[in-house]
Parts: sequence; C-alpha cells; structure tokens
Amino acid sequence: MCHGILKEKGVGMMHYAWLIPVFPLITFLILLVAGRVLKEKVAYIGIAGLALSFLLSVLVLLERIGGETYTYVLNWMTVGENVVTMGYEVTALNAMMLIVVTLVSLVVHIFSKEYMKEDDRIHVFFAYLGLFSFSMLGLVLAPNILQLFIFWELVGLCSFLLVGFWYFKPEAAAAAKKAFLITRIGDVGLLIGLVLLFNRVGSFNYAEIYTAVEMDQLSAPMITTIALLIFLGAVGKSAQFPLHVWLPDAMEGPTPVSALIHAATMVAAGVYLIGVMYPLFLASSTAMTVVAYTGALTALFAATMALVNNDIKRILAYSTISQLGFMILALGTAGYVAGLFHLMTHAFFKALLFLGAGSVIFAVHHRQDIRDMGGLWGKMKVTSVTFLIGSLAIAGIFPLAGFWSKEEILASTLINGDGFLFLIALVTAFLTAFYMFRLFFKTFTGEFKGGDLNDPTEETFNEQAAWEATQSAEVGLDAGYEERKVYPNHQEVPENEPRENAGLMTFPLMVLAVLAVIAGFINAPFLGHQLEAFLTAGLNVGTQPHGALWLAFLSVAVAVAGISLAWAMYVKGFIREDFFSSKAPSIHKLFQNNYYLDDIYLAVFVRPTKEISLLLWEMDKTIVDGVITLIGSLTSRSGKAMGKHQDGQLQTYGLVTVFGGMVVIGLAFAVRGYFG
Amino acid sequence: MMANMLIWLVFLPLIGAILLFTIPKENVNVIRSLATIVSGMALILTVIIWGGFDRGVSGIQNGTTLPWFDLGFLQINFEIGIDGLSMPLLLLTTLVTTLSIFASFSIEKRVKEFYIWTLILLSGMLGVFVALDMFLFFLFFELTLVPMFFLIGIWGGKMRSYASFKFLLYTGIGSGIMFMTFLAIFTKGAEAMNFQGTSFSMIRLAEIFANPANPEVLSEGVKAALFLGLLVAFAIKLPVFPFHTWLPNAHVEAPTAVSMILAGILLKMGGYGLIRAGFGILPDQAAKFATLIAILGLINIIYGALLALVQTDLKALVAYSSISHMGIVLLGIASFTHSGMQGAVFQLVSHGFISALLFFMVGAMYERTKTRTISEMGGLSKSVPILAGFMLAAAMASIGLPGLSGFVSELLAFIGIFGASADLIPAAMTIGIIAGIGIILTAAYLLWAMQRTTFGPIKEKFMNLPDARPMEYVPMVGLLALSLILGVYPHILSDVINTTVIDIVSRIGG
Repeated sequence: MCHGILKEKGVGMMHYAWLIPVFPLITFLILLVAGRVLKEKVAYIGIAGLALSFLLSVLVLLERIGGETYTYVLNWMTVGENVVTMGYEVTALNAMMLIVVTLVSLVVHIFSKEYMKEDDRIHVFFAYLGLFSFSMLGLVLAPNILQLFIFWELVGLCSFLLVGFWYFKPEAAAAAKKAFLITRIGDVGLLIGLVLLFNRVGSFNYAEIYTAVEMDQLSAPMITTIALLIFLGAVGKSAQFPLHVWLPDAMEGPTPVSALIHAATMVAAGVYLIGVMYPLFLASSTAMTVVAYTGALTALFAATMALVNNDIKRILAYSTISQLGFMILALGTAGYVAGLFHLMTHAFFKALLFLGAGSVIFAVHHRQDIRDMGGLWGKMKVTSVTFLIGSLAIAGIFPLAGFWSKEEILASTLINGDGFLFLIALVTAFLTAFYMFRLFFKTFTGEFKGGDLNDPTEETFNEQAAWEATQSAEVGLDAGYEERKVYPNHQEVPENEPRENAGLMTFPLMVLAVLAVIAGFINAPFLGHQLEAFLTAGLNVGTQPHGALWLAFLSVAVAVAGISLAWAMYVKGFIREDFFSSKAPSIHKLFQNNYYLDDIYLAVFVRPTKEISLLLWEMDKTIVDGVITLIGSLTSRSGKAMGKHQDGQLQTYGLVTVFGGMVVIGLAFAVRGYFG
Repeated sequence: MMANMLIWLVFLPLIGAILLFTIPKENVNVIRSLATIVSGMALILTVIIWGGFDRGVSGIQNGTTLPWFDLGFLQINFEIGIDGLSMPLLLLTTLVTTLSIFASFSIEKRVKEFYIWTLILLSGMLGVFVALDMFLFFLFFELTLVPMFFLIGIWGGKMRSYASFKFLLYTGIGSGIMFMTFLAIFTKGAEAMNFQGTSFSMIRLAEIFANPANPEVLSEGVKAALFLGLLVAFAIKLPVFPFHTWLPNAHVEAPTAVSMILAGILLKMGGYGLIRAGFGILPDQAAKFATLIAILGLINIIYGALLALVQTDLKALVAYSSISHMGIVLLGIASFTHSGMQGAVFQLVSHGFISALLFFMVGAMYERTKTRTISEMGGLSKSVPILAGFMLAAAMASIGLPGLSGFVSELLAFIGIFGASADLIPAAMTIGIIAGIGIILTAAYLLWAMQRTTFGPIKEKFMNLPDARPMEYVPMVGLLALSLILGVYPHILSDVINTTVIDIVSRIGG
C-alpha cells in the first residue's frame, strides 16, 4: 500500500528528520491521555520532547550544510490520474526554520513551566503547546504546498485553542474565534490558489511547481492570479493589512503563547510561504509589487498604532505586525534572503521581548497597562537587561541581530523598490525605535506606579482594552459580553513589590538575549554573507541586493533618533507626553482605534450578513415552507377534530394509507398509459 | 459467495427485527443487546465484503439476478450488486447505524418497537445501496420511509407529529415523482428497444439509452424531462433548496440516534440515487444540466450556511449545516471531473460520520442541559470538558479542518469545480470562488456556536453536569476516529471509489 520513494542515497540524520515533529506529537498524545494524572510533571515531558526535537534539528542542519536537499515521500491519495504524495524534505530554508522553531518552542516550554504553574489546566496548556510544535514543524518540513496547507490549518487550530485557553473569559473566546475566522479568509485564497496550481501542474510538489514556472507551463495572468491568491493566505496568517485585525486581540492568550505563536513562528509562516513559493512570485512583477506595497503599508500602519497603545502585549503585537510587514516588503523587492533573515532574527528578539513582557506581567500580578508600571529596572535585573537588549535589537542598533537584517531590507527596498518604499521603510524604522523605547522607558524607568499589588480590585479600568473587547466580541456576530474577568491563576503573593522571577523564567530570557546579540553575524558582510550562500545555493531566486556602508550608518542614525526622542519625552520630559494626543487628537484617536477597521468590518461585512441571513430565515419559514406548513397544520387540525389517539397513530396510519394509495394510483395510471 | 453475502446483509436486519418480535418487551436489555448484535453482524459482513472488494473493477461486482415476477412485458428481477459507489455507502450505513444504536441506549420509551423500526430501516437503507433494479430500488427506498416516519413520530420531541408528517409528505412526494419517472424511463426504454428485452435493470437501461434500437423515441426533450424528474425526486431527499424545509424540523424533533441515521445515511440516498440513476442512465442529460446542478449546489452551500448563522437552536444549526454540506456533493458531481465526482462520494461518506458525531454531541449536551437553545448554554467546557472537547472536534471536522475527512472531500470537490470544462459549466470559476465564501461562513457559524455553548462563563445550574459516560465513548471515539482515518490516509477510501468514478465520468467523454 505504501511505496517509499528514496530520492537520495545514504541514510543520514536527514532521513530521521520526520522525528522532529513526531517528538512533540508524542508529548501531545501522552498529555492528552495522562495529563490529569501527571499534574505539574507535564512540563518535564513537554520540555523533554522539544529538547529532543531541537537536538535532532541541530544534527539535521549540520548535515544539510554542505549536503543536498533530502526528500522522502509516500503515496497519499490518487486524485483523478494524479498521485498526491506526502512526506518530508530538508532544504536549506527549512533546516534554518527547524532550528528557529524548535529553539523558540523549547525556551517557551521552559518559561511556561513557571509562568503557568498556578493554572490547574497546565496539562492542557502543555498538550496544546506540543500539538502546536508538531504542526509548525510539520508545516516547515512539508515537501509540497498541500501538506503545507494541512499543517497551516493545524497551526491555526492550535492558535485558536491557545488564544482561547482561558475559555471562560468572554474576550478570550471572542478573540480565538476572530483569529480563526479572519485567517480563514486568507486560507480560502490559499486553498483556491493551490487548487488552480494543481489543475495546471498536476502536482502539489514544490519542485514540480518550480519546473512548471520555469518551463512556462502557466500563462502570465494565471501566475499572477495564483501568486496573489497564495499571498492572500500569507496576508491572513502573517497579519498583514487589511487582515491584521486578529493579531492584537489574540493577545488574550497566555503570554508564552503570544511569544511562540503570535510573534516568532506561526505568524511568520506567511513569510515562509512566500519564501517557498518564491519562483512563482518572481515570475509576476504585478504580484511582487502588490507584495511589496502590502508589506510596506502594513509596516507603517502597525507602527503608528504601536505608538499610542498602553497595553504592553498589544504594543508588541502591533510591533510584530509591523516587523512582518518589513519581511514581506523585503520579499516583494526581491530581497529573498533579507526577508527570511529578518524572519529568523525577529523570531529571537521578539520572542525575547514577549517573554520579557510575560516576566513583567507575572511580577506585577497580571497587569498589562504600562501606565501602571515603571521603575522595574532595579527590581527585575535580568528581565530589564534582556528587555533592553531586545529593544536595541529590534530598533536596529549595531551590532545586534536586528541591525543586520533590517539593513538588508533597507538595501533591498532602495535597490529594487522605489523611493516611496524606501522612505516608508525608513520612517517605520524610526517609529519602531521610538515606540519600543517608549515602552521600555515607561516600564522600566521612573517610579513604580502600580500601587498595592495585593489588592485585586485595584486593576485600573482600561477603556481601550474594554472597548476592543466588546468590538472583537461583536465581530463574531455576537455582542453582549462586557464584563472583564479577573484571571483565575491570580494568586495572593505575600510581598508588595515587583521582583525578579525564578530562574526558569529568566534562563529563557538570557538564551534569547544572547541570540538577539549574535544571530545577525550569520549573514554579516565581513563574514561573507554565510546565510545567503547557504539559502540561495542551487535556487533560482535572483541576485541578492547589498547596501553601501552609508546605508548602515543611516539606519543606525534613524534608530538612535527614535530612541532619543523617546528618551526626551518619557525620561527627561523635554517634550510633554501628551504632545501628540493634544496637538493632533483626531489622528491620535485614529491610531488608537486601529483606524476604525473593526467598526468598518462590522458595518460592511458582519451586520449585512446577519441582516440578510435573518431575512432569508424569515423567508424560509414563510414563503419556502409556507405551502407545506399549511397542509401540515390542516392535517393536524383534522386529526384533533377526529379525537386524539395515542401518539396520533390514527392520523399516522391514515397518512401512510393515503400515501400508499397515491403510489398505487400512480402505478395504475402509468401502466394504463403504457397500454395506450 | 460474495453475492450471497449481499443478500444476507440486506435481510439480516429484517430477520433481526422479526426475532425482536418474539422477545417480551420487558426484557429491555435483551432487546438492546440483540439489536446491537444484529447491527454488529451486518457491520462485520460489510467489512468482509469491503475486504474482498476488487478495487480494479469499475463496473458491478458481486452481482446476482434472481427472477422475481414476469408478466411478459414487465419483468422485474431481484438484481443486486455493488461497485465503487455503493461499497463505501454500505460500510457507512452499517457503521453509523451500529454506532447510533450505542447512542440510543438512553431511550426508555417503547424500546422493543424502537429497535424493530431501526432494524427495518437498516434493511431498507442497505437495500437501496445494493439494488440495481429500479423497482427493487424503489421498494427499498420506501422501506426506509415508513420506519423513519415512526421513529420521528413516536420518539421525537414536542412537535414530533408535525415533523414526521412533514417528512412523510415531502419524501413521499419525492418517492411519487421518482416512481413515475422510473416507470416513464422503463416505458421509454422499452419503446426504444421496440419492446424487445425490456427491463427495469438500471444497468440494462443505461445500455439501452446509450444505444437505442429506435432512437426517435428518445428525443432530447423526453430525456431532459426524465432527468429532471430524477433530479427533483432525489433533490428532496438530499435535500436541495427549495425542498429542504422538512429537514430542520425532522432533525430538531428526532431523537439523537435517529438524527444520526437521518443525517448520516438517509440523506446520502439522495446523492447516491442522483449518481446511480440520473448519471448512470442519462449521463448526457446530467452533463447538459451540469450548470444547473452546480448552481443548486452553490445555493445549498451559501443558503444553508447563512441560515445556520442565525439559528437559535443548536440542533437546527447542525441541520442547516447538513444542507450546506450537501451542496458540496452537488458541486462535485456537477463538475464532471474525476476529482469532483470522487469528492462527492467522499463527502457522502465523510459527512455521514461527521454529521452523526455532531448530532450525537448536541444530543449528549441536550440530555444534560435540557436545552438546545444556544443562548441558554455557555461555558460547558467547565463542567463537561470531555464532551465539550469532542463537540469542538466535531465542529472542526465539519469546518473542514485538514487531518479530518471533511477537508479531503472539500479539496477534491474544489479541484473538480475549478477544473470543470468551460463548455460544461461556463461560470465554473465564479461558482468555485463563491463556494469558497461558504467555507468561511461554515467556520463562522460553527465557531460562533462553540463560543456560545462551550466557551465563556458557565451558568450556575450547569456547574455539576456529569461528563461522558463509558457507553458514550463508543460513538464519540468511533466516529471521530473514522473521520480522522479518512483525513490522514484518504487512500483507504479513494482506492475503492476511484475506478468506478473514472468510469462514470468517462461515459460523457470527460
């Protein structure tokens, strides 16, 4: 039944790459069955599974460097005359992705052991984390776009489950549904795109799709159509404008989830998708332009929203959207390596920032409003220092990781894009530095404004969050949840001061901080663009643009300017904090309310759909069903008139008889007709 | 040997029903056990038949033809057999029926009668899927109608009488139309052969219609009318808009186990009949009406989903989702492509498992909360996490989550409709894209339902509901596992379907 096709000789580590997703799958299954019994021991099982996956990923990467792409497939199904296969593949790109995913997932597992220790459903949490890691790794290892889609949907499911982990919170339930639904819009585009590809290429395999594009088997308009449909999938998953609205709400999930799924890995899957389909995109200049502009506009829009938010996680969420926009901008301007390089560096420093935020939130008893924080620098040494490193990295300060990848993106927009794209990228880089340091200064410097941490009623009413909560609830055809609930795992803590968390939470921060410092060197020009050589070997993805030295200076200068402005406003007070909100209140409000996109969607899509559906339902009950309802009510009335028999059997038999008679008459009629 | 097994399979449940007559109605446990054993034996038989099924044969296998009655001009034979179309549906029938018998143990009212009707129903359904003679097919089709009528009418909810009458009226009219059309097909077939070697056999009639001795008899108009007759007859069963209104009522009133059979198997007879009789005997007409069928399918998908979106009763929501999902079947067969047809059959089977699971979960929740009104539930994950988990899994299967069977059928149907020839369906691309919106709507109404029932804060009165009983795990795990197996390794099913499907599609040169 199964026919293995071994395309490469020799059975090395890459042959065992399939085990990488299987380890977390096993932990998922163990926790699903025995989670309740194991209690807090579940964390060790989850961590062990991911540690094995990480180790194997390292071995696979080492073998892949200097090796060849390895593919192994089995027959899955016959569609018409075409055999669809499933299996796994180790390419340069996914060997890198394996490291990123397993490493971030591993540190998030470790962090979660402490962060989630007071939640009595910790076994469910770790089970879902395992399922997610399995799905994400399966997505990365897929040798064809159908298998990618299958795991693409599964990571979406895990995102839904984990955003809605605290299912009893109405906002979490609404956010989970919103995340699933909005990304599904993109998924339908992707599905149609891959169906169109299959109908023309006869295969879902990347290799055969590349060949078909090279051999001009697809017409130019069809290539553009398919590329744009596939891109729609990326827009949904990677939260690009105009489908980005789900990601800020997804912050209702536990913070480790935000770090893993909604910052480092799943949301980057859209970028990865464009990466693996790159030959298709390169073949359509229209598609590339759409990609570049979508990325650029998203980067800028999201950054403006990050400027004015006060929720530590939402700021980081908008920042993620913005940075994903950067990656997509790079891919749209032929910066294949630049986009994927930034995917990797961003995964490390954004996971660091999110886990740092989690550490802060944990220390201040699940508050997320930065106006309630401040002064944590001395109190939480590891968190503060690592958060600073993350902030410097994302701002693009030399020689941290973000500097190298952001500089390449700027180069790619400058060389292959146009002046407008370059300008947007530059402005966004400035805004990024500014909002990150606004966040940093307000959280870690100055005085602690949180007041008494033991008073659970102290939680200041967050108008913005409450508003957004009702919005997100309504987007799912469902208003009426207004109450904000206190977290269940909120426990009494004896001391009154925020203080550094246990080693299990700070260790992951240190690991990620080291990566946020050094990861950029992997593609540093003076070390010979190692990553570029690795990723582009044997692939037809065009020449990679490189910037001149002045560009590096310019990008650092822009970042320094942003940081300085934040310092002037939030540390020194040279410029008043409410400068912007008082000078341009309408624009400030526009940014704060997500450009009113949720309201627009509600008015344009959700409400009309609901109205139409209600109207159709009325019609269904009256017009479509009318005639028969009339007959029905007449029968039952006559039945009542005849005297109610037990269970209405009299009428029953009567009708059966009538029906039987009808058949007999019909038969007689037809037969007579036959005799003519 | 295998042919004899088919006869045994069809009559085994009837024999079981007769045996049940002899058992005193007080012996509830004996009755339940016997019904389970009989259905289980039918299941084992189908599994054996499945194992011996020759995947390389496109036509009928294990066929038997026994002379039944012969009036000279009118020969009716007991002609049965299976192919890649009916084999999966036979297995579906015995699987879902057996699992729904496990789901029916909570029924306390008139237990003996309940299982007698259920077993008669089982015989009828199996008969429909093996019958190759039109008269026999009609008889078995009718044999399903009466038990279903009583199962809803006696064991249903408050409005059971109304619902069962409506069911009988609609499907009865459908049967009437079907019978007339069958007779007309027979008549025209006989005429076309100058009354030489006339037959009710669908296989023979297909040959006659393909190569008539007297082609003038079969004008395009006549053939079109015959096809439309079959289309309407089976459209009521599937059900297709605007003949669907009996279904939500029937589902809402029917007891859980009956809903499972109704959605899981009975509706499939509509799709099966359309392919077997409509596409089998009149393939060129089917191709002519491909656009109509595709548009009907599209309307079902969108209309069913939009109505599901505004239902207040959870069971009605699932019923409308069935209507929506049956649209995929129409879309697939209309495409006249291998993949589309394969997807349609795949959907018949897959939806059989998924809808049965969904109805079971809704029933299990109703049994505990005593309500089906969505707004009255909420937060049920707290008190019944296992049931809530399975309900979410069922919803995800229905949404078409990859890894579960619904995804494969949707994928195949989409490959079909987007690959449909422009001569057959000029607007295939547009239809496909609008159907894509249906996928989003499906996620919307199911997630909305889950959000309002199992997520959110729990009501005080639902705090101490008991979670799944051991007996409930049988249908829950069974149905989910079946959907999972087909989703992870669809080859198991597509292997059986494929050869026959290629044959059906190639009849119009597609």
